[in-house]
Amino acid sequence: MEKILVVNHEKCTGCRLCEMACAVKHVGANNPARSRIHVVKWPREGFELPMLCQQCEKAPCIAVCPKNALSRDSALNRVNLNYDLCIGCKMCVIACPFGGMGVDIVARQVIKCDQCDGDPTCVRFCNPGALQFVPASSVNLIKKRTVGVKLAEVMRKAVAA
Amino acid sequence: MALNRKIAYVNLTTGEIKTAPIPVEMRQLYLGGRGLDMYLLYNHLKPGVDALSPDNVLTVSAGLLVGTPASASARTHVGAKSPLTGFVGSSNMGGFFAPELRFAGFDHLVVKGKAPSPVYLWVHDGEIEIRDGSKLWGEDVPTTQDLIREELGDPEIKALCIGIGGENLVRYANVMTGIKNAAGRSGTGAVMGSKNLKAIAARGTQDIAIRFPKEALEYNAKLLEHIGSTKFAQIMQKWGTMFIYGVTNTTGLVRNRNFQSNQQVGGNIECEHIEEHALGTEGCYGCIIHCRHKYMIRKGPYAGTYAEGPEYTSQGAFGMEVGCNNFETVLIGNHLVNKYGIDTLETGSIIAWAMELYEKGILTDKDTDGLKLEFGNDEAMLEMIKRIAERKGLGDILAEGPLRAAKKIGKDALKYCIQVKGMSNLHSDERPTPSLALGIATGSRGSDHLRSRPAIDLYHLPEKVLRSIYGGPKPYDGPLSSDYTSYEGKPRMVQWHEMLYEAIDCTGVCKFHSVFLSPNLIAFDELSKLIYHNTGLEFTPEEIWDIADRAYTVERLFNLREGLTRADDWLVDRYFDEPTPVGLPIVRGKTLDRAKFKQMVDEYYSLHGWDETGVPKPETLKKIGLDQEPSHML
Amino acid sequence: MTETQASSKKGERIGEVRCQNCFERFSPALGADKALCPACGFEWLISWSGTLAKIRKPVWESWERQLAQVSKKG
Repeated sequence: MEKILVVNHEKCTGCRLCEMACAVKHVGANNPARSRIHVVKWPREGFELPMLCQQCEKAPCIAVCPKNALSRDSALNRVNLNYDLCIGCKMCVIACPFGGMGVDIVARQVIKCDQCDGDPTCVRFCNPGALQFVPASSVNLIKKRTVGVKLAEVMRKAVAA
Repeated sequence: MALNRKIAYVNLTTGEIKTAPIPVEMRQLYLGGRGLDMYLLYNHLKPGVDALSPDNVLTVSAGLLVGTPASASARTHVGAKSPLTGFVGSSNMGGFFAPELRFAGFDHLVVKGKAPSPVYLWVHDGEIEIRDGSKLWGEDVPTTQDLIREELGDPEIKALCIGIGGENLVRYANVMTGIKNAAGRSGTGAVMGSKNLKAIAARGTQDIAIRFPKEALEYNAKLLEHIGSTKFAQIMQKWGTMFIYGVTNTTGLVRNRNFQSNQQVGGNIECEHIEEHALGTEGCYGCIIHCRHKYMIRKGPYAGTYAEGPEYTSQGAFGMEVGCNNFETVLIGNHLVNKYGIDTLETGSIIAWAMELYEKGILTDKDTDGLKLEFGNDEAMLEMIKRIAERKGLGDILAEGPLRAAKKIGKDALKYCIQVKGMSNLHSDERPTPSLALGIATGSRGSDHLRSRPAIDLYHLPEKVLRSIYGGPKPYDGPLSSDYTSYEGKPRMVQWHEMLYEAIDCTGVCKFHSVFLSPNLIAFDELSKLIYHNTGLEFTPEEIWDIADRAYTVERLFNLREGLTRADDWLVDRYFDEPTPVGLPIVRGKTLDRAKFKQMVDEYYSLHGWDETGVPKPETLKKIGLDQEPSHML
Repeated sequence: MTETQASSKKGERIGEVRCQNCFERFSPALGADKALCPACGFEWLISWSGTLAKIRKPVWESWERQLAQVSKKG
């Protein structure tokens, strides 16, 4: 089943456990500079937003890659990065509208979220559920139900009155 | 690897900065964080120095497991000789500074001397600079951090700093980070102020290598799953520490109107009120408990102000102790102390004491410049917070802390003061709970719940459960009692929590993930595994106890060197002479019994291997390798 | 794992509260804002977060009367 990684910023507590788990999983060390996910924060208003590769359908990174190192992986519904072909030119880093492509300063290569091949570590560690890996076909239905719970309560009350 | 972090010595008088590796042998003796800080203080401080002079030494550190997949591995430790107590100063806070310090390549900073004008330290990827801080001087806590990020052009910089409380040398000023994370209680913020050090900023991109990454992640995932499943965690995630009020005020275990009552009858400041103000909750680095509320003050002169907290302690400080019964007042008081960077607990307690003195006529309108400092006068209380931070009028006297203020006020002021070692007691009333009372009487940094409080003693746990907790890792077959009003076996509980909290503080894990408010969380066994997976260092649970024992004994040696005697491990007379007037039947009419309390202190000393004057016996020092201190290995 | 760790499995005790007077555990009706302790009769205000129950505070209006009652019972 095709799944997508969705972010619910309202549930994010800004703990950055996703950043830590991502880095430790991918490089065996904790270093947010090498993490594929980042929580962007506005500390004076308590607003936090996890950001990562959106696995675009018409991905600018794929379009600009001169060596076809980036490609659409339909089996895992993601943008694949093939390090055997990558020359490290960083055009993808420039082209990405979300900052989803990064540079690993230790490994000297570009990095992006690979969704841990179908079992994202960040999602596993996100206790409040701000990160979820859900079927693409029902992502809007899940949201409708979440919002609908509140709406339904109001409507039930209206009917009862 | 995770151990590959340096120590830096910064001399603000000369501008000299030296760095050195931290040998693994030191890790084996003290792990890091609070433990190693205590070793550094004992070795670098001359006895008897004025805590607010350039001779004091300030240590800032990240614990051994900070930034690793341990559990809420976020804690920063700040040490110095305390300007409040004159004994060991040890403050601890969450947030995001400690991990960033490690990413920048350092675990410990030792700051000496005094800068000729305001400065801040800029720690980044293995380098440290002393920068001009004159533009920051006079700014509040969040603004200071914003200005640093702006000046250095990096929004990801994490900084700790002081507010005007620290600048004005309020003896209980905090070191702060973020909006409300506070290294409190010991006045380490005043030490920074005395050094003209406004802030320390950190930013780094260095690996914290994990020794066994797969195992560390897997173990952490399971541990977090367990922690998240406990009722304690779910209550904390929803209500934060304010949930405790629901139990303690109802039972009658709080200080009300300084020490005149043990319950705020009709109390209306319970945690549920936060729902009208909260914007959500926040976690410190790597923490799933996210106990910190984000809130907006909706009404009054502070309407539209964003703040974080409040904690249970602020409910006491700006609620029960001062006889105020408005949740909005708690929110404003909490905002003010965090903005000014002064200790919420000490501030509330000292105002409550001043209110009782005003009630008794020891302080008059002349002393307060006309301020009606009456219990339940919310506006006067909030005004007093400001005057303390700005050191205006009576505030200037109260900013000196309980003992110095009592001396200046004179008359019977001291008689009404609720303090241990010159530090005000928190807002709990320990008359019905001997174990909690012993903890605050003996705590190394003064009257305090975060040294050794056996909070789970309040839960009436079955003896079998108590035995499974307190029976190890060092064998104990003495008595244990489920009754919190009993004196039986309580010294062991205090000692056990003292050792656990010391070990936890050495690692930088948060106490809320340990056996503090829940019996189900991390203790010595789990620490042993966390340390092994993340660093490769092998310690049995017993060995971790030994490390904690060593570090705690260094704190004891420090205090003894500064003149501590057995009389300092004691409570004020009111605990023994005035019975609790209200509360549920179990806590009503209680005083502590002097003879039984003395016996508890004896037993506590004996469990530690200290003689009857509270001095570690030579064989005790030898056993834990402290017979050659100070040894100047770092 | 300690004894209590083993006994605090997910979900257990979430809907329970513990009477602060007599330490007896009981389950208030889901969503109820008041509950009587079945063991000692003390009345408590309850707050909820989903199915998570918590004692909010006593019913202060009847606090003295309730205290008198429990002390009579001994």
